[in-house]
Amino acid sequence: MRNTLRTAALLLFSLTLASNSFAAAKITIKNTDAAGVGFNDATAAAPVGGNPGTTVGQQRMNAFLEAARIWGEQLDSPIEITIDASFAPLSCTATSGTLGSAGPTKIVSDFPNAPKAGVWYPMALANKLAGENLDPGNAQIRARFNGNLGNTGCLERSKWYYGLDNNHGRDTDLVVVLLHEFAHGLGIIGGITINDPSVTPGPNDPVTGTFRSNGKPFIYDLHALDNVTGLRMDQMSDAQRAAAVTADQKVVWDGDAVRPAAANLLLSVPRLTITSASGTSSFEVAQASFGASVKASGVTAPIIVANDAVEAQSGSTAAGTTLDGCSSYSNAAAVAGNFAIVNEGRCTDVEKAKRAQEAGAIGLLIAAKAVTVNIYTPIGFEPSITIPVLGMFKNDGDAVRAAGTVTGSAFPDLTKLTGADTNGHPKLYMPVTAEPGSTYSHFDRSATPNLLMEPSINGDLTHSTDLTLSMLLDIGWGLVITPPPVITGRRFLKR
Amino acid sequence: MKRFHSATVAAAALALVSTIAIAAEPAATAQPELKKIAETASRAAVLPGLPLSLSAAFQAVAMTAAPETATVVPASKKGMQIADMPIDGMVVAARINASGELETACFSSQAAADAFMNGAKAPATKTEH
Repeated sequence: MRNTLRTAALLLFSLTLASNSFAAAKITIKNTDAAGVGFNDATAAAPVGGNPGTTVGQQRMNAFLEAARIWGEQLDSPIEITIDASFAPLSCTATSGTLGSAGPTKIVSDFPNAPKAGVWYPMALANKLAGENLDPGNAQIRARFNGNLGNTGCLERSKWYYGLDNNHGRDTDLVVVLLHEFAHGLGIIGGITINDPSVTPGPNDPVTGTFRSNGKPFIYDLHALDNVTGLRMDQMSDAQRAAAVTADQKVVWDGDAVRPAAANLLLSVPRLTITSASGTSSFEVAQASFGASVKASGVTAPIIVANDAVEAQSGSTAAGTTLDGCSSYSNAAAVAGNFAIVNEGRCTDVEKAKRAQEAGAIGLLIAAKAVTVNIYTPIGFEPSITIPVLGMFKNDGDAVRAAGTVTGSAFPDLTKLTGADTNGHPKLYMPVTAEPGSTYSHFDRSATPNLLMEPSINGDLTHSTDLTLSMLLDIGWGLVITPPPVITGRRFLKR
Repeated sequence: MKRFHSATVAAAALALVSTIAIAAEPAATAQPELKKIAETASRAAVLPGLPLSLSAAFQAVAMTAAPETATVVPASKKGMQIADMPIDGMVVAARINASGELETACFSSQAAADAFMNGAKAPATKTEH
């Protein structure tokens, strides 16, 4: 009996310890808006998608709180995280606008208990690691979002969706954008200067490849591995870093948490094998960001060259061709039940997919219109597309057409993950032409499924924190461990 | 181009000029004049090449960051540094392209986002696997 009591007491004690050691982070949203705007907008609104707010301002705040809840329930911190938040109008026109911005307010290095010396940490993470608030009285993250979106003259077509159920349709899901932006504030941000290559920097401007803050790396940089040199960003010279940021997808995320998570989440790269009278050949194809994935069972069918009308020139849009798949097919009957192949261009990939699906195709191949270094990957968002849509190099497309009667078999290559290198490290977004901000501090766009930390907010994103959570664990955040239900001593004894 | 250049400089300045080295020595015991000289020298050491045009921003941040009534910093925080981040943070912007589709992208400054919104950057495409 005594042993049983002792065991029960120890269990309760250990559960208490576990709860304290891995406490869910308390994330507080601090409303910094003026009266009547942003979070204080008293315009009446009907509750939507599980958001019970009855004013626009309330619904905005509820979406912020939902994103804070999702991160807070997964990340541990003994120190409260405060987000200075605003939803006031930002710059906008009828066709473009700023959706919002967020980031750490400050970075800290060499603080008590810092895991690495001479490395910048975002303030929220530094507080967590230090076990104390290193900058009392100030917020750790700043977030500003555009309260004008969807109003007259401001991207009227795209409104914020304030629901909490991800049922955003064609509107922009605010919670998804917030999850992405808060992640930057929590530490998904690199510390390397990346200048716009189209702008000549001034004599006093920092140079691409240098660390942008006092010559020290961010903790993020310690997990960016260059597959060309075999070095991490913090181990490289300024010149090596400058080369790496435009080396085209050679830099990957090297982290103990991300790698196994990627193996579980990312789909395999699809391959297409074609068989014709002249033999069999196989090449890589690229899964579109929409449509069905190529399943392990594969898809096998004849490949038919789709023919459609030649569309007339329209404004700045050039005339079409019979091979672009932008109009209804003239040989729809032949395409039905088979793969269709069309060329990139003139209309969107989604429109091409709609034409193919209407014709009864079981899959669509879109060949690049020009010879490129990287494979053509169709992009877009359209839930109604249910067939696989695959991009391919121009030369491969030409080969398929030249082969005459040809059968194609698309299967996933189980040895290679989308958006990752051959070692399973997810690629960071590093296009040949640097895009300041997009380059480096995001995952590459080639991942399937789309990831929260890709540079674009894709319409099929859910409220999952996918590999982003693993990235945060790699830089030093801890995972909240939900303790099992507490068993009281008395009840334990009765058993 | 001019706008981007200015914003880049400003962002870099914000990231750099407010780097604060917290000394272990109790600041309150130092003579104000000597303390100012020491602070100036310290900042100069970590801010080579800072444009003169940024001096106003520098002073504003410095006044906020290093008040005369600085508190005694515990020895446990010796060497700790804090730097401000650009106020823009990471900026998400959207535009409607020629095909009528909404494109979004995330940038490290408002200037870069502005360039995207003005159509200066081609829409990024998916890249190889």
